[in-house]
Amino acid sequence: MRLVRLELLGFQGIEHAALTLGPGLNVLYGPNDLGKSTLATAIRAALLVPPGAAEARHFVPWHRDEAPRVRLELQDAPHDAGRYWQVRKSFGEGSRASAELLSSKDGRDFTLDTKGREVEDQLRKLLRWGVPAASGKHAPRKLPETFLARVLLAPQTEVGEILEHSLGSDPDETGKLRLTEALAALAQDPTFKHVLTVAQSAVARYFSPTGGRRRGKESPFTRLAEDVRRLKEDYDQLRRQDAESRATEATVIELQKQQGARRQREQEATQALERAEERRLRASARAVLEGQVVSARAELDAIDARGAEVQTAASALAGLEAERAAALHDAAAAAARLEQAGEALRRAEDVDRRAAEAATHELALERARLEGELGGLRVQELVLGAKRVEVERRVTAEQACEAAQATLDARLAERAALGTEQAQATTAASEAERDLGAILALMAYGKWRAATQVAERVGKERDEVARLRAAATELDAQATQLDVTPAGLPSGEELAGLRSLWRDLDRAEAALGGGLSITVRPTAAITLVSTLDGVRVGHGSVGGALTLEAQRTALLDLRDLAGIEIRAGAPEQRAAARALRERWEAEGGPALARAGAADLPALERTHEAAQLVRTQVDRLRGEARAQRERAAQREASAAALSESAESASLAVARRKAELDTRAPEAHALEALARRFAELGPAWESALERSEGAQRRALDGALDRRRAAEHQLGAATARCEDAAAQVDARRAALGGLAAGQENAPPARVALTEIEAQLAEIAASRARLEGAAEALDRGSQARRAIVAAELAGARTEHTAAHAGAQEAERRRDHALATEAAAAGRLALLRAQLAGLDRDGAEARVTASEHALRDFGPAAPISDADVAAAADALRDAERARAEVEGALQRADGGLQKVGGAAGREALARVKDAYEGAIERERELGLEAESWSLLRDVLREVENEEGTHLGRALAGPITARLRDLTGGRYGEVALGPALETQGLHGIAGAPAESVLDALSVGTKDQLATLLRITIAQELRAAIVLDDHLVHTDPARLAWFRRTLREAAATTQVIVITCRPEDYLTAEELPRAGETSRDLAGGAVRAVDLGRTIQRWPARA
Amino acid sequence: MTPTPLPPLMEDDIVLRFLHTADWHLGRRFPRLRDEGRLALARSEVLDRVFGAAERHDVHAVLCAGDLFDEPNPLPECWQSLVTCLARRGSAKRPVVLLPGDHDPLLPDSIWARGQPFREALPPWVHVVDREDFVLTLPGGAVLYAVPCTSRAGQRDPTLSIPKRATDDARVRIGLVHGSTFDLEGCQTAFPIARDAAIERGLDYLAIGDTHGFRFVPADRAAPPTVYPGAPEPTDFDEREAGNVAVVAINRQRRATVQQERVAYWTWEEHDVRTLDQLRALEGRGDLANRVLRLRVDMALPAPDLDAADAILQRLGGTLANPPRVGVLDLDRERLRLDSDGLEALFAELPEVLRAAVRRLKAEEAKPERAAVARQALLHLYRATRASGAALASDATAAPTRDA
Repeated sequence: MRLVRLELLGFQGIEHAALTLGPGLNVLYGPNDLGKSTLATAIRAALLVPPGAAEARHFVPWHRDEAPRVRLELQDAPHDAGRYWQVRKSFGEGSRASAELLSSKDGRDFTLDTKGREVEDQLRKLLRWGVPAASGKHAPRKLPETFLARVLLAPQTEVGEILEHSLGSDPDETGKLRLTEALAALAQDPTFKHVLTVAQSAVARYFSPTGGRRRGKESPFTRLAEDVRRLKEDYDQLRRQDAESRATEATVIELQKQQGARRQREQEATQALERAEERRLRASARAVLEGQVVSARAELDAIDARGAEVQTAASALAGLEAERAAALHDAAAAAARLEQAGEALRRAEDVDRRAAEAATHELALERARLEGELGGLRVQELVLGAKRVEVERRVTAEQACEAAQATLDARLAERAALGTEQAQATTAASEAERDLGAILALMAYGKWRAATQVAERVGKERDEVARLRAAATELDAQATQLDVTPAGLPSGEELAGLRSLWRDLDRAEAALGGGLSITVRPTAAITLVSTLDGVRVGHGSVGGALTLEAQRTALLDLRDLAGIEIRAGAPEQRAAARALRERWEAEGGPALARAGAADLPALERTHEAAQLVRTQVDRLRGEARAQRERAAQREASAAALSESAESASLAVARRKAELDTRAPEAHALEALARRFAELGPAWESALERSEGAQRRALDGALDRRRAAEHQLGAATARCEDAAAQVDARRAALGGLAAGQENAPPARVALTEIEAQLAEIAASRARLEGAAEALDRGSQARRAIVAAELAGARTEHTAAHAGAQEAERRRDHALATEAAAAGRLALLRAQLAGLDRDGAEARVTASEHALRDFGPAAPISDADVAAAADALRDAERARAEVEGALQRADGGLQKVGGAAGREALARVKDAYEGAIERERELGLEAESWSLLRDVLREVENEEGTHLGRALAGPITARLRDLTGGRYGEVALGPALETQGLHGIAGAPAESVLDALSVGTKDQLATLLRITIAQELRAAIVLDDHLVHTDPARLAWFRRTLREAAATTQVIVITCRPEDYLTAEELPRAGETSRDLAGGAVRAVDLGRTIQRWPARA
Repeated sequence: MTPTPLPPLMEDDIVLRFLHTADWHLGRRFPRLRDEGRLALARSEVLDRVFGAAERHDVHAVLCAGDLFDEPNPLPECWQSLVTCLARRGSAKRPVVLLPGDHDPLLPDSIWARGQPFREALPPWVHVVDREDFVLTLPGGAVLYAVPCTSRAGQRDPTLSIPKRATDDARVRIGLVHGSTFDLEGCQTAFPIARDAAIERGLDYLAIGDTHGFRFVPADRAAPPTVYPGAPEPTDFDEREAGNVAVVAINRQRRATVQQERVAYWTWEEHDVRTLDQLRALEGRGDLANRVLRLRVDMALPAPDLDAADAILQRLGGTLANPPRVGVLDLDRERLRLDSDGLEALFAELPEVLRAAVRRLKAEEAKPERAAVARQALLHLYRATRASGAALASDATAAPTRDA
């Protein structure tokens, strides 16, 4: 992860600061008390401090009561998808505290990822620095101090303290895990690496990156699962088929069993029925014998009864003879009454015949009279009918005449209305024409004015072009005036070379400095002048001991006695310093002389002044170029305008002529100008819209006028047609009324005729009623006579019936008497023929036979019928089961049978085999997965001795830095710095304790840089090498630049020259400068940080 | 294969000699077996030997008692091989009778139906039993009664359709049906055949098919014979006396003699191996090429021995580069497992990180539910380490081989 951008607002002493960081080495420099370290604090605050934490009290702005705010943008490492994150925090209490975390794929469009308390947790997950969750039990109350937080963001005051800490004191494992992962590759043995690679490859064959089993087409699981699925389908299908088959077969077998049972039952029922039939036969035989006894006894009884009957019949015959005499008498009386009734009937029939003849004659006379009257009425009716037809024709003609007149009146009214409409349309068209004219006049005015304005603008543009060119010329002149480079000034590169040479010389001479203490003890007073480190001091006469202190050189001038030169340092160091001094004098001296500078700083000031002048000249010339470019643009614009102006001026004349035509008068022109002013700048489009609308309105009005005219013509024609119709109808009516001038009006005549016809109809109805009444009277009289005749006939019929009844009774009495006499004779004959003794003998014989037959077991018909029913049931049951068996046999033909079972067994075998293969494949996959996991676990555990992994690179760097003075750096499993080997006889711990502050700082920096490099994490070095000599600083400069190739390094310093050459510093006006293709960025914080204004 | 001499019937007394075969199961699949194609092909190849035996014994007829195809509608290549064999080996003077069985019943759309390409392709001396009252006169005045299966299952005894011998009928009467005799399990619906059907129907020989092993019914070979010749090429491991045909001769006294003759190429065998030595001995056998071998390996071996066992198994089953030693191998190695005792010793000279991995996996192995996975992981670790060229301790330092 690297830092991309940092912005502070009201944070401690900084009012505002914003800087963008490069991916490599960032040297952020500035003088003391600028607020450089505040930037580091802000980075820590953004990443580690919850907005409401007590720690945030230290962030409050010094000069204002507002919440300190910080915004930090980060980017994940490219191998972590390179996602951008932006942390926004506002610190303080209550609502002042807020935090947001945004994310972006491209670093431009950020979306909110989380906010509030969750921001801290999310940041901890991203960083994995061993900081516990912000909301957890171990949530830090102050700025979290973990090993990695110290390594990557150590405050200025704790630079060397990293050597006293380790991962072991972290409250959370994440830092250790992260380092373990990062250092894992260093810990791997080649064999282990091979095995792990093999295991990982195998796992990748079986599992996806997310840990699930691979499911693609090429996955072994997929192929096998497909086999299993296919075989399972086959297996299931065959199993179903087999189940059906077995069920059917079981049914058949069951039915076969039932068939046997039911056949047995049927046989038993047959036997039972046979037994019942036998019993019934025996019972029947005994019943016959019993019947014989009964019938013999009955015969004897019948003979005795017949004797009694003869007696009864003889007494009944005597009574019947008396009844026969009475019946003969009654028959004679009835014959006499019938004779009387016949006479009365003949009289009545005579009366009836005469009455009928008289009635027929009268009826014929009256009917002839009524017919005569009806004939007269029919004649009158015909005459009146003819009259009515004629009168109806006249009435129709009059109605037609009236209708034609009404049509004519309507057409006339319609024509009048259309005339009005036509007049309105004509008026509307005139008004539309007038309005359109006004719009066209306005438009002509507008275009005329526009053309005039274009011409004016062209003039102004040309004036501006001239002005801009004059200004450019002026700026060029100023630049030329300023552009006088002082003679003899070195170039930037030369100056850098001189600066480097001077610095080398300075260091070389500084390296000589071991400190000199010279005590002069003259035996006699001497005059002494000393030059200590180049500073000349006169001591006058020295009589006693005098101690002089110098760093590198001391020249003692003993005047007349001697000159003593004392120089510090080893001979080779002195030689090197001397060589550099000579080189300086050879190169630097002439350059200073050429530039007229006393020393290098003076030369640098002169050079800087010249650079400033150069910058100013460049700026002036740039401005001149810009002015000329603007002039050229204006000129081009003016040219374009002038082209349109020329074409417009041609139109102006035409528009003016048109305008004069449309608004010839001066006051009309003024009105146009007022109206035009109201239209505003969009006058042209507004007028075009109005013109369009007005033209459409005019076209509409003209269309309506034409339509009205057309309709009026049509209406006039229709009026003429209607008038002709009226005339024709009137002529026809006149023809009908010819010769009837004095006749009443047709409708009156029609009413009279219809009244007469109604009277005739009434008379006819009356006459027809009279005829019907005549018929009814004749019929009534006939009915009376007929009723009398019917009475006579009824009496005759009754008398006839009485006579017949008397005769029937007489005949019955005679017949009954004869029958009784006959029956008596018959009974007597039968009684004489019967054998009573024989009958008594048969009774005795049959009773003996019955006694000899013996008893018979009782059996009823119902019992026999039940046995027969049972047999039928058994037969039916057998037939049923046989039917079922037959049907089942049919079903059997559709099942798989033994062949299906064999196929099922084979497929089951194959299916189980596939399942087994699937299990084996699963076992194979799981075993590889287990192996990989175990390898990783043991690797992590072995890798947790992080000291072994890191000691090598740190030791190598320390040796390089110190020229091999120290041996191996001893680091513990959790990166505890345990000591430093390599000093013979000295324990490693004591060597570490004995290190100077500067060397400890250097060792700490090496440890930090190495860890940051392994983590590929940004590291902030805040004034970290303040006790380091220039030679080692040069080594660090190189090392940091190398490290920056893979890791972002942010150096905060007040001494930019430790890391950058003068040429690498941002130029005047620049806040930062990218070097070495962007690998190094120099940021002048003096131009970046805006501090609070100083208080009065 | 040397033909066995026929039983002592007087040669000039023989009136009829025929070959009885059944249960060819052309088109059968063996989905469990990796080389099922070879076994499927074997069904066709054995026909050549069946008809070769017919030629050799100069039989008068070949009677094929059902289940000639594995299903009623086999693929053309199944029946084309039969047609080809008949054309090559058959003769008009030796009629062949094909009977539909319960695997390939006579259905309206089955291969046996008239008009089917198979029927059209058959020579005229090949007779398909496609009706219940099939009767064919054989040489010597013998008569054949045959009843086909018309479904995959049935409860009716097919011999009931064969007319009983009339009192004045002295001809040799042969029956040809397919079904299960009453002494077989589940015979009720598999076309049950009464054990005394031959006697009941007045038959001198009842040729039946269904069971894949050669068998007399009843086993005491009481006359007249009722015989299952079995499948000429076995189809499974549990078939006893499979791989034969029956060569039958009948004399003028209508007495039949039956000769069992082997025609199969493949022998199906099941074998259990519990030691590495047994496995080595098996590999040394010279008769594996025509074996369908179901090999169950049940042993726990130290890693080096397990590698050796795997190598043998690979040679037995063959690879793309080397032909298999076993004709068709059905290997069950579920119980072949690593004996992890002494595995640490093999890793003694290797870095601690690998030794730690061994220890951890062994700890996993101690958990019953993880044992199998952990054992396999240990084996992977051993093999991957060995493949890396690392200096594993020699086998001599490893724990001695312990057979399960």
